[in-house]
Amino acid sequence: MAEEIISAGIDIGTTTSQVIFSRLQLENSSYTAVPNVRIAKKEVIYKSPIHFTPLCADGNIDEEALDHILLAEYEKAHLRREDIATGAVIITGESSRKENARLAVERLSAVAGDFVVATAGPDLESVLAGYGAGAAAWSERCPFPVANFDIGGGTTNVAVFLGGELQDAFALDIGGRLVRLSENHQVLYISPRIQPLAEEFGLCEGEIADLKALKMLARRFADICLRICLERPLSMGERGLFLGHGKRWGKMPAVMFSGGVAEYIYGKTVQEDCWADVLRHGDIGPLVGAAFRRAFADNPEVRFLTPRERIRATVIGAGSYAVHLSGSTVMMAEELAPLQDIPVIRLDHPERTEKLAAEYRLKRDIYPASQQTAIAMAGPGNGGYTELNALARSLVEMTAGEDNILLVIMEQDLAKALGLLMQRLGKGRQIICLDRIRALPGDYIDVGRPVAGTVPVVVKTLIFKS
Amino acid sequence: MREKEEAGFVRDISQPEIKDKILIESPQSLEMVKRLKKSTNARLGVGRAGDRYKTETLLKFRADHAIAQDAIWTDIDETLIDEMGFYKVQTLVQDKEEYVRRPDRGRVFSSETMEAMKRDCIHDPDVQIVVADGLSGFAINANLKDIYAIMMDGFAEKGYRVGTPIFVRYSRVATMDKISEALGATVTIQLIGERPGLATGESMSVYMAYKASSQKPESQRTVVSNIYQQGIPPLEAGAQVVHLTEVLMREKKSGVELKI
Repeated sequence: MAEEIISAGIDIGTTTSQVIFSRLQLENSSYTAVPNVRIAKKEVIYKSPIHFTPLCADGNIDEEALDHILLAEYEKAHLRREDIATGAVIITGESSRKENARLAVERLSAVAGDFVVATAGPDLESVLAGYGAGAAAWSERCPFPVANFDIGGGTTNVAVFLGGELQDAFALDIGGRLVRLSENHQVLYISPRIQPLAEEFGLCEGEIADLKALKMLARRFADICLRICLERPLSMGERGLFLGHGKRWGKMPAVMFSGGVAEYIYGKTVQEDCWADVLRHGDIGPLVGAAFRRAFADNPEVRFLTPRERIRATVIGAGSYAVHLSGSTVMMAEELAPLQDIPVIRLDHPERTEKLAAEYRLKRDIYPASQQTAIAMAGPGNGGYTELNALARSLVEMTAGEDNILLVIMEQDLAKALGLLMQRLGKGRQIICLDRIRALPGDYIDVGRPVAGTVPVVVKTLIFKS
Repeated sequence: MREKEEAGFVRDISQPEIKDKILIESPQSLEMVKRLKKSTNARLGVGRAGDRYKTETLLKFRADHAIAQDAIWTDIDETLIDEMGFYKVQTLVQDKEEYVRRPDRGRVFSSETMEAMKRDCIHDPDVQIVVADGLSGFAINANLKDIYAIMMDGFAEKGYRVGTPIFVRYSRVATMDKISEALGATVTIQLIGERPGLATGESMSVYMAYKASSQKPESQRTVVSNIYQQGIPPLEAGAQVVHLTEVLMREKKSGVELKI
């Protein structure tokens, strides 16, 4: 059995916005009556041109103009809203800090399709770019970790993979458009986040820039990233460039780069002494690219890898990798989908059923009672029927007063069994029980409509948290 | 471990952990060997001594083969079957040796047995459960309790009338057809020990058929296989069987005729 679904990826970035459509081929590899559905093939079938993100005079996203761009792309791709089964809309970089970002995304989902909408935080963005650039795939074939640095206009998003598995994700205020210039070399804008660094090189808004100073700033950006890879110390000010949190992973012996700036690391070159050439985008992007190439290419201390995608890495990540498929034996009534932005409550000790209610209350009570939440866990463990039934009973009883769907997600392949027992104990309750999905505390999930017996789920980390 | 051996203990080479060991001497990348091993149950990364297996690999291989042999040749321990109150019958086969040599006799009952079943068991049930030792009694004892409990919960939830649970000694799959015919079951479900391999001796299959009949071809059966802790967990398999039973009831067919 083969089934295909079309997945959309829409990326609204600080500088640019784009759309891609992928075809995901689902395949049931089982010969028996227990299906085993997985994504057999991912193929990008349409890539939009890179559009400038439309902004209003007040700096917010121009929602109407964005709708127009999007609709035109759907038309060019010969796809309609109803053709799209799943996918993700994400707002990336500095754009995600715009006041109306969330509204713009909600509006987009109405225009673009009824699919899961992932409004990104910097970490999710890093992860999607890492998948889209091919760092995850690369790391499957080598014994060392592979990091991807997605350098966009506003931020640099880093994801580290080992053996195909995500190990760490973080972001920094490093980007090609943090300094913007006019044609006559005047500094039009310096992002407040890098103000102290810019001052160090004597760069000031409104003044005429010194090309040397710009190059030194670009070189500093590259050097910071190199020191991050090699675990060398950063100054207090440099540590302040991390968004939200620092890195947890240690040394990164192999790196690749994606994002708009990567175009200038791998492909395009600029004459760094020629103002006209440097200022082709009115920013420091080309200089930053050149500085990274100089710092990383032919550097014996770190492997310099080539990504599969550069400027499109994030959007392809959103369209092809944001969606996970649940296991094939699960419990879910189709009419309950789609569910969006469900906060995750993770139970750490599902096997201790007698203490479960207390653990749940503690974690549940930070959300309003009316809020739909998802209960996540590793799994019931290796117990038998008695233990599973006790868990089902605890879950049903501790959520008894709630008016929401009893939504349980776990890693272990036991969702159909647990779902059946919960349904028996919680008569009349609406129950969704999914497996082979890993969600952590603080994550949010979107649940799509079942496809070929499995359920598409997007697990999101950090929404609009800057 | 070594201390224990010196103290007079002998390592249990049938323990599965031994298979996780990497025996290649100085691999170029230990990380890659580990990853490769994680992807399969096959005996990879075991190294070699000249062009032969290492002693440890050979012993483990023999131990696993012995488990498979034991699974086939050991009569099922019926303690659990008795505890659970199954109605017990036997095919025409008299012992294990005949069971292995004469598959045909493992598919049928004597007329006395057929009459006794008709006399003692519930007729026309929605669901008839049959447990068969098949080629591994170990598989039944390892999985029956969990899968049976969740199946019964599921059937009670759906309101199905479940027949007298029957255990068949020295049984092949086709006994389910005879039992279905004798009792007029709508859906017959047989839990049977699979032929053991070198990975496990505890794997069980579930065969299901809508109005199972010896007049119908083998393709009448829907199957769920590979049921054991590291395969499809028995609890999850049970829940899937409940779901499939609903499908069989609704579609009034099973096996290849059923498009799922």
